[in-house]
Amino acid sequence: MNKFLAMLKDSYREAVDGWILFIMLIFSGVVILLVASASFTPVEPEDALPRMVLGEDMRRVYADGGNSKRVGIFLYQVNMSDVVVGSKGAKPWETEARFTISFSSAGFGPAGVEVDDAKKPQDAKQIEGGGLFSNSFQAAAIYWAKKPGTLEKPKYTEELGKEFATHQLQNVAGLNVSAIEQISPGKYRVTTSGAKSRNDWVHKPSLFFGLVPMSFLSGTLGSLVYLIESTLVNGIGAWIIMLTGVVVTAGFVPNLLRKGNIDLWLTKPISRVLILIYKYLGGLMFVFLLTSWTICGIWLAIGLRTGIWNTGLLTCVFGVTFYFAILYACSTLFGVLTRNAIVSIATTLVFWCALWVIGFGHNLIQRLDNADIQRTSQRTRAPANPEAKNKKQADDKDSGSNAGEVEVVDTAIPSWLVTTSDVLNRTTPRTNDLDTLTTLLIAKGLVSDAEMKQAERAAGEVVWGEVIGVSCAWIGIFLGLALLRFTTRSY
Amino acid sequence: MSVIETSDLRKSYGDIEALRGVSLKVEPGQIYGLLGQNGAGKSTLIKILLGIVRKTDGDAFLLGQPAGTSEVRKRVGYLPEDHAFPGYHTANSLLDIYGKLFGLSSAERKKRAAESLDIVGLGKRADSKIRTYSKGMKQRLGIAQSFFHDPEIIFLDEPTDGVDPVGRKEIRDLLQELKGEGRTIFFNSHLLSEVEMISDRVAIMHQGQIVRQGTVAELTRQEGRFVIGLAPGQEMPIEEIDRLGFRCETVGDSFEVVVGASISSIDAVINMLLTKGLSIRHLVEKKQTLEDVFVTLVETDKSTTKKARVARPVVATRRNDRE
Repeated sequence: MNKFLAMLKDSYREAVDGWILFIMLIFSGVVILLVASASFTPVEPEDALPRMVLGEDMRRVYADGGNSKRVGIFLYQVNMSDVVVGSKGAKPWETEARFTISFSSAGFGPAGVEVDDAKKPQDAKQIEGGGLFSNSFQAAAIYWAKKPGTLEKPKYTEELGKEFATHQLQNVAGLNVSAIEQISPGKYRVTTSGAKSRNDWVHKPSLFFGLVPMSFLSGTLGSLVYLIESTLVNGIGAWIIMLTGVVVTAGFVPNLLRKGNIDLWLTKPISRVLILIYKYLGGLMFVFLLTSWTICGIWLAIGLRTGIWNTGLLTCVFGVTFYFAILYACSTLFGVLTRNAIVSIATTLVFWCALWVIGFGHNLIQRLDNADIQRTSQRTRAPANPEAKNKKQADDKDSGSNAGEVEVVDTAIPSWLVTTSDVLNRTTPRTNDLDTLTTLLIAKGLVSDAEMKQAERAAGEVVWGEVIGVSCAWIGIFLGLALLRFTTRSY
Repeated sequence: MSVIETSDLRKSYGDIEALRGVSLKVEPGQIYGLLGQNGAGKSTLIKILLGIVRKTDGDAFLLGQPAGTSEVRKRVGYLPEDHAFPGYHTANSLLDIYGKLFGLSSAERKKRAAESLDIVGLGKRADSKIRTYSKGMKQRLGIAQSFFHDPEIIFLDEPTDGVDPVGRKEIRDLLQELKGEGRTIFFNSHLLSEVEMISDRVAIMHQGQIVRQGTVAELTRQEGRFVIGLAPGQEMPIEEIDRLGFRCETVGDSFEVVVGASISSIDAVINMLLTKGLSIRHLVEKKQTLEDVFVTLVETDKSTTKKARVARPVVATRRNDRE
């Protein structure tokens, strides 16, 4: 332990020797102070309620009572009228109010669009649609109540309509519905006792303790905090910390291996394996401390200003450090091989870019491929694989259906490209997925249930064990090669 | 028991043989000086003994254990030739970290660091960043770190490099003091006068081999050459000395008589001079300096090598090519 602390202390002194760390600490301090100066003023109910009820998310419907990750976007419109606000207290988000809400058809396009699991075989996929100009509210309520994977559709009733409307108001708009009465199918008189929590209420942000209003950013308090945390921690902040970490720590190993310095280390009673491992951990410690300082500072500032103590944000310290651990393993390997900090920085940045390109490319290809499959299925309702396609065409011919309605569109993305991107993505550290993981950690508890489901859906079918396992394997390979070179070389 | 022992130690870098069968023994409490030209293999030998460089063949033992093990390194101190102490450390912080690696307690580290730095004259600058040190100060720090953890053997690679004459004297005195404490000191240098002044035993390396070793007296003795001085106005009977079978040369006011391997033969010359009534004012057995021995050895080897056209390391070959 003493030896580890000695190496750690050496790395610490090396890190604080340059000006970059201090610039970073000052920069982080300024950001923390900026966040601490932010004020969030609750909007009056007359303005807040329409913002909450008429949002885009109200059109997004999840099956299985809102629990499915399969989303259906229904082209219905939501209207609000006759808003009556009760007596206002000190907490606007607890004000009682009454209003009328109506769900009406947008008047064009299909009323229901089913998005099934894109990876399912096409012939096994359930294709549904509400039909043109159908009663979209009823279609939405039926879709909402339906269990995914079952053919049976629930029957629309007044009760189902009220349940669906209540669900949308509570879980999507974030309101406490104390009473709901049907005026006509799709039209309801609602009594609310305010938002479910302060997080769900619309707020106007401002900087420097209210001196600089930022009204154009107004939204629910949870979404504003999410915006700050995800931008500062998972966006710009993580990127800057990572880049700084790569630059500052790239010199650690080459400096260790400098002629005249390495001789001194190697003659101390510590094994070469431990020297390099400790040096690697020293680099990680640098980023861990910098990240901790920044994230904990922002967490504290936001907590004090809003009362939101999002523990998910704190766990991002480990997420960012793990991300950096992959990059620093690469830097360590090239530091040992070349003993040159510039080469280490360059190769690490190239590796980082390559990972980003692989991740981005894979997501893009998957999205295009899925969209292509969906487009094909909607136009043709035909199976994608050739055998099933032929069978369906033969069936259609036999049944005398109109062959002109069947339009077979081959997928535009070559299968080899899909396979290549999939293999590359599976076998390399998935930094994009790690980004998604930190996003989810931050979002939890801040955004509405509906938005959270959307974020989880964006994460797709990521197997976190696999993501972390593959990343650890790469760290192991990089460090293993570095150790092999370091322990067998004469200095 | 020898504290350092190597047997037929070899190290090759590709086709280049840096060490070609080095065998030596160093006894406890000795100051052992290793002489050699640049590229002779001195540093390589030390680095193999410390585990920095991997040997190609042969055996090397320190304190009775295979050289380079972690256990042995605990009992050894080392000053590398071109040391590069991290400039971001102070002398105190550096010794503190090294002390931790040697398993010293916090109190021990503080005490020994202060003492060691005082001994080398760096006590007042102990908390200054190393990057602000002069070359001589860094060299003193290097020496301090080599002995502050109380090692049994201290390896010093060019310990007086970059140090002024007064500093060199202080370092020589320090080495004697460390020797007095029972430590063994093994050091490299190409400053022959220093090696001559403080070493108990000396080895001369040339092209990866030890070509001579022994005490300074053994190496510098020139057998059978005596310098004789007669009283003013008296003449040396050179012809009679010739008749005795010895050669006599005039060197300034003195005469050098070469009697060969049998040193007692000088008695015949002295008797003859006394019989002739000549007054002998001084009689000294002439010795070579270490530099004479070293240069002679190297030059002899060069001429032999040229004749024999034996393959040599790259550095030496290039030098020969220029010549």
